[in-house]
Amino acid sequence: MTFRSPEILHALWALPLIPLFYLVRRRARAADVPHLFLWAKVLARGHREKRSRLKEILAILLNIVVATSIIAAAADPVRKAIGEGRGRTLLIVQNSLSTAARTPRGQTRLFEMVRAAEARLPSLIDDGQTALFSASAETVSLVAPTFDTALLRGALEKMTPTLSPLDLEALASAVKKSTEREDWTRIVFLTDGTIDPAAKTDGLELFSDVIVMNDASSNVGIMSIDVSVRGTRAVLEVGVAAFGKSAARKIVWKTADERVLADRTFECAADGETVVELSATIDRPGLTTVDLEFPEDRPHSSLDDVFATDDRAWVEIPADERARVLLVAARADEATKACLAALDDAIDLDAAGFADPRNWRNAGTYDLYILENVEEGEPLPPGVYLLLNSYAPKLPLDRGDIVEGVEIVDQAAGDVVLRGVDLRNLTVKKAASVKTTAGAVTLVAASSGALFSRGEVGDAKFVHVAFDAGRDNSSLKLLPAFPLLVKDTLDQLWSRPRRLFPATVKSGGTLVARRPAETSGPWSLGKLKTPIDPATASEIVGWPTPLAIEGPGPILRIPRMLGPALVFGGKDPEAVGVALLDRRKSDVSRRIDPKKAPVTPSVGRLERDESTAVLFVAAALAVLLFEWGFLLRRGSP
Amino acid sequence: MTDANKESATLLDGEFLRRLERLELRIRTMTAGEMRGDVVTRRRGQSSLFRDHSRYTQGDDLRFVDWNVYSRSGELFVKLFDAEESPRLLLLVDSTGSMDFGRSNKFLFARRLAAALGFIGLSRTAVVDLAMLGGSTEGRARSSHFGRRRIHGLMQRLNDVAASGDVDFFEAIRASAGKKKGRGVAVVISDFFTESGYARGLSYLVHLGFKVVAAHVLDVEDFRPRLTGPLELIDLETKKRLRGTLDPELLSLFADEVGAWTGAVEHFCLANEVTYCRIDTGESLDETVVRLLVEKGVLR
Repeated sequence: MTFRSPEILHALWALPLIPLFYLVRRRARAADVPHLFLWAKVLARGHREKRSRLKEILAILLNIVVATSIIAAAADPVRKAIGEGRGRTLLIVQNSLSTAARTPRGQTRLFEMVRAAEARLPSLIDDGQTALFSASAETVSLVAPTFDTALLRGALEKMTPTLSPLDLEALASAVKKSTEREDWTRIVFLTDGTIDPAAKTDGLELFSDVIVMNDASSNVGIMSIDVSVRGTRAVLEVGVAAFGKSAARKIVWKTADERVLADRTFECAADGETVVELSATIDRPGLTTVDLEFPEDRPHSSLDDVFATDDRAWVEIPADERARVLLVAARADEATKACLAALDDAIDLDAAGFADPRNWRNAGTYDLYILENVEEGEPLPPGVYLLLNSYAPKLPLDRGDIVEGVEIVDQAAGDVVLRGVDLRNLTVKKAASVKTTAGAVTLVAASSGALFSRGEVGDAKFVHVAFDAGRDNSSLKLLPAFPLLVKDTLDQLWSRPRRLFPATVKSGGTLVARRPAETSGPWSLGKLKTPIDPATASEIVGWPTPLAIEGPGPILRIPRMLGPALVFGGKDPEAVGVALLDRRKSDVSRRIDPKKAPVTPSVGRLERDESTAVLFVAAALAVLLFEWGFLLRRGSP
Repeated sequence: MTDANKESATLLDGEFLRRLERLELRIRTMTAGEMRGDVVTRRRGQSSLFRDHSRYTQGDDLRFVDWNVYSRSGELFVKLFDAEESPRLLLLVDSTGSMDFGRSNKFLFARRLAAALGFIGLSRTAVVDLAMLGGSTEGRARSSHFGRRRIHGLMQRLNDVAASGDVDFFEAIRASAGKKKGRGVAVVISDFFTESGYARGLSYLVHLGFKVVAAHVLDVEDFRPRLTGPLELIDLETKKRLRGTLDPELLSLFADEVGAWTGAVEHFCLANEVTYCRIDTGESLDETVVRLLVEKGVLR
């Protein structure tokens, strides 16, 4: 038996007041009587006192029975309806992409939820027919209302995580529609709590029970990896983030044949990214792995399941790919060399060359040609050039006379090439008067014309500086940020001949953009395949620069503003994945032990147990009558 | 002093006196023709009222021998004459602690009854002696009152006493009534809730020659006390204590015991020439007096 208003049963706590009342009453009061000798005769009969005590005890017990009966009747006893009145349960199990995530036990969240659902099946079936829905981007009816436990178990076992997020609104809509047909008495929703965004939980009130299966443990994953190679020395900067709480981890960098290159134990701060630097000597480029090791043994699972590998990343260590620079000048300038030496991360100094302006075209192929005070008679061959007061035919520049006392008029502040140039310290004594034509743009306008310009002619890309560079007036010395100018020229003009990988960017499992492998150049967002949440969409489109995939080294670097992301590489170098994780704090989840969680009774199919209620009241009345008639009866004098 | 004693002031107020006068008139009216106001006693006394002959026994006064009868019959007979003297009314009022009890206080009722009887007695030129059985020694001293005008003194005496303590009933009666035999009516107004010697006391009065009337004053609380539950009973007279839990069944038993006790008192009275009158304090005083004096034949 159960009660529709069980809160009334709390009145039972007042039952001790009944014996307390009698105890208080038992305190003897003083009373004057005209004599005692007759009282003594009557009271001398001891068994009367005992009988009186027994009567009193009986009265206490009976009053307790009366009070209990009345309270029980008031609590509205109900019983399960039979036949047509039986319960009807809708069991919904979330199987969106997030349920593919692994718990510390090594199983997926979906696996845990299926087990929890199976544990509940007997009590659900006992209450009535049970149906099964799966909830992801779509809500799918898997099993119609049935008493067949085996059928339900089979459907549960077959559930797999989808590649889409949970659409709570779609789920709520589907549930409402089904409620019109089926008249559910109870709706149980098993979820891992990854409802995005967290504010959109309006539909949750539809459910009788929302059981959140979330391991609530710290979720630590590799966010990003930056690789830089200096000869045979490779350095990894691994960004690791912990969601929910900080965690200690050990990061291990291994070669493909499991040889440990480097490792480090570190504390990963909660809800933030911790960057760990690892360095090692690489004898040959190739694929390596970076693993986050847990204190306990946590097995890795199939690589096909992207969420399963948030603690492992594959990193291709590239060959040294610094730019090879050729300096073309009449005389090698030590200052120039020193500036180039400052760019050892971008320029391979050992491979840098120095050539005479008369025969530089035979020096070989370089990534960047720096020409200083060179007058070419022939058009520049294809390549990337930094022209310091150097000229060649067909350049989209009109050169005029030398101008002295040049004053800066304007600078294209947004141009990346100039980001290192500090014009406040720039003193230009003399500069050529240059005007840009079609194919070139002015970066810095001065009283002499285009002081800095950038352009392209044929396959020759160039950055031009119109300083008057006499032998004693090296432009290099006039430009303290010359190294930055070189680097930025490289970055902007030099297409690094690296393999580009296709990339998929997922937001909570939704495909956002894709870049096919065969294309090259800066990668930009493609057409969104499926809509994404506006909260994250604005972050994506707000990037100042397009995403650039650099491979086979750093996979991808996503600005922090996009939110936490899971960056990883697949075993197949062609597969690079980035999953944007929903930052779910552990306080969202209600960790429920499937074995202990009670099943909410199907209240809608409970019918009032009126006969029991009447029985309670009748029992109370009968006891009261008995007590009044037997115990309180007064004799006649 | 209990609340009942505080009400004694009503014994002295004019209304009560007028009430007594009306009562006395009523009594007189009811007994007119039967009595001439004086108590006639059958004693051999010097009076001109010849009443009867009695066979001569040795020791009789020879002056009363009826020689005429001797001359005719040859046997000696003495004359009996009716002597006229003031009647005597002895009022013995129980003033022990048990009287200060009742829904209608027994002690107050007893004093009013005594006042009423005393007033009627004084109106009939009786000598009214009043003694309290119980209380202080001073209170127990007997006071005599004669003449209607002395009613105030009688009432004052009744007014000044309080019910308290315990007393040996027999000793108290003996002390109050004295040892001298006499005639008259002795009215004992009491609840007779005493283990010590009410029987001896009443018998003593009979032995002294009184016409004894036992006015057994009881209150409904004596039978059905409004008590229940666990109690510590305190004897109003002895201050002894007794614990017990009272339930309806036990109260019923108690009522039976009280009934048996009062029945025993009545039985004793009937068997020992004591006029018994059970009085309920809930009754009207007038009706009680009428019942006592007329129906019970106290005035005859």
